[in-house]
Amino acid sequence: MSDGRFRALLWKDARRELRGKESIAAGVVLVLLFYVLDLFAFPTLAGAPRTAAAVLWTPLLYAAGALAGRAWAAEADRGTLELLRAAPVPLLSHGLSRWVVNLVITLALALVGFVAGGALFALPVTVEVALPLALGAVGLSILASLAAALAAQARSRDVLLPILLVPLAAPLLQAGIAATLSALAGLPLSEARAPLLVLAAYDLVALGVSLVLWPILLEGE
Amino acid sequence: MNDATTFLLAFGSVFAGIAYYMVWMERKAKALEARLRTLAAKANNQDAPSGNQA
Amino acid sequence: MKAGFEAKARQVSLAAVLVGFPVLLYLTWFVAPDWSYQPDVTAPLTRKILFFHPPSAWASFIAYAVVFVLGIAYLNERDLRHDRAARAAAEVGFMMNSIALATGTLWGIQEWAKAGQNALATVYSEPKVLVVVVLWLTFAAYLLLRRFVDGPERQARLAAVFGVLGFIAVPASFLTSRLLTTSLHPDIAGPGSNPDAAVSGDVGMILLVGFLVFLALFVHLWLQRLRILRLEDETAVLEAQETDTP
Repeated sequence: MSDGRFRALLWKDARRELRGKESIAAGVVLVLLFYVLDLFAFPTLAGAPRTAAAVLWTPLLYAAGALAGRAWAAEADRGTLELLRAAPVPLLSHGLSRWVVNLVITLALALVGFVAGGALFALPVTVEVALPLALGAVGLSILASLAAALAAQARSRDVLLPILLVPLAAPLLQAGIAATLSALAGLPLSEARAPLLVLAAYDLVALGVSLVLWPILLEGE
Repeated sequence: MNDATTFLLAFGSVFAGIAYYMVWMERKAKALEARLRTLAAKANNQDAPSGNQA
Repeated sequence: MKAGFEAKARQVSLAAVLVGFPVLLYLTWFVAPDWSYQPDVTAPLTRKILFFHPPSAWASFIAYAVVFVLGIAYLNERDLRHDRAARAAAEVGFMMNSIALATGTLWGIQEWAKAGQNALATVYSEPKVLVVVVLWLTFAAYLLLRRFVDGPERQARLAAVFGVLGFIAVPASFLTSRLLTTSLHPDIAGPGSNPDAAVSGDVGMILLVGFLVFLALFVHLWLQRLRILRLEDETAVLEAQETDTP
């Protein structure tokens, strides 16, 4: 995949997202909607770290799933999946290219959530809070891309996607929220070593498994 | 809910559930086997029409 | 698997279940220690769930491993028989998992209930319980995915892919909860297990019997379910032929 074909594929996927800007715009609005809803309920999150952890992670999970789902649904609806199977590009490259685009968007949304949490709820804007969110965004983008490619080939895919994604993302959310709670308690990164390691390890395992699964997921009948 | 109620509820539901599932599956398998036999017999009759129909 | 061997295995496992369950009940009643004489045990009767709750949870883990292995086998050989066996194992595993969840919920309410706190919330915020809930959700998602996908090959392929992903998520979830949290639920085996909760003597022996009985139950239910699924497929083929011929 060191040849130019992967780059061309990546460029195609990235350009499509950039041209419409719909994914990024929709994602940002989606994340901010969650925060507005949270503002109705909590004027402040000072002294409520558990609620703050939920406020930070829920929009990320939802937006990662929704955006990956939209991208694959568009492929399935327009029949471009069939075209891609015919193209002289390995199916793995196609999956990876979609994932890289999705990763960038999810990381951007994690950043939006992180900044909005600091601005609206006076959550600490520190590396300790940012790192688990970033690691979580990596894993969520991998799993959401895979789950979305699965759901795109089924009926009622919009209902199915979260049902598939949440069990797969459970270890990420468990470890991510544990690391966030440690950060919100003002502890240094070294105190959250175990959950951060779990996050990083799960990201790597998910990436490795996705390399094997993409060609199987995208093959035609 | 006290100790004895919890205990009875847990054991009762587990055993009733498993027993019901086992009986249900056995009956279903028997019914399907009977249906399969009927269908196979019918298919055989159609494949080889016997002379007494003429 | 040969049909004759399969039928034999089904009958043998049925015999093991029919003999094993009364034995397990006997051991639970008459051999297991009577906890009602121990002042620190809040729910001595409910504690007897010990001999059914972990075995059903372990049986569901085994069921999931079977789903995983058969999923890989399907992806390698593209033989729909592997997929049918995986589906049967998932359905039975889901049932075993539901038993573990239901008994665990009842037991947790009884043992961990604290004044001023919702009993169900206490149980379900427990990391060990969350692992079983994650497995339950994974089974549910696997079975739902199958319902939502048309065409046997596509259904088999997508289900196998999700089975592989879930097989990574569930142990990861298990490890996470062991590494990260202090919990009310004792670890009776494996790394980091709690010496106070370590089982010994009679209790360990009965637990082992319980596990073997639930293993036999899983094998029997799995093969039985497999038989029904095969019969359904065969009937469907014949019914289609029947409607084709005028």
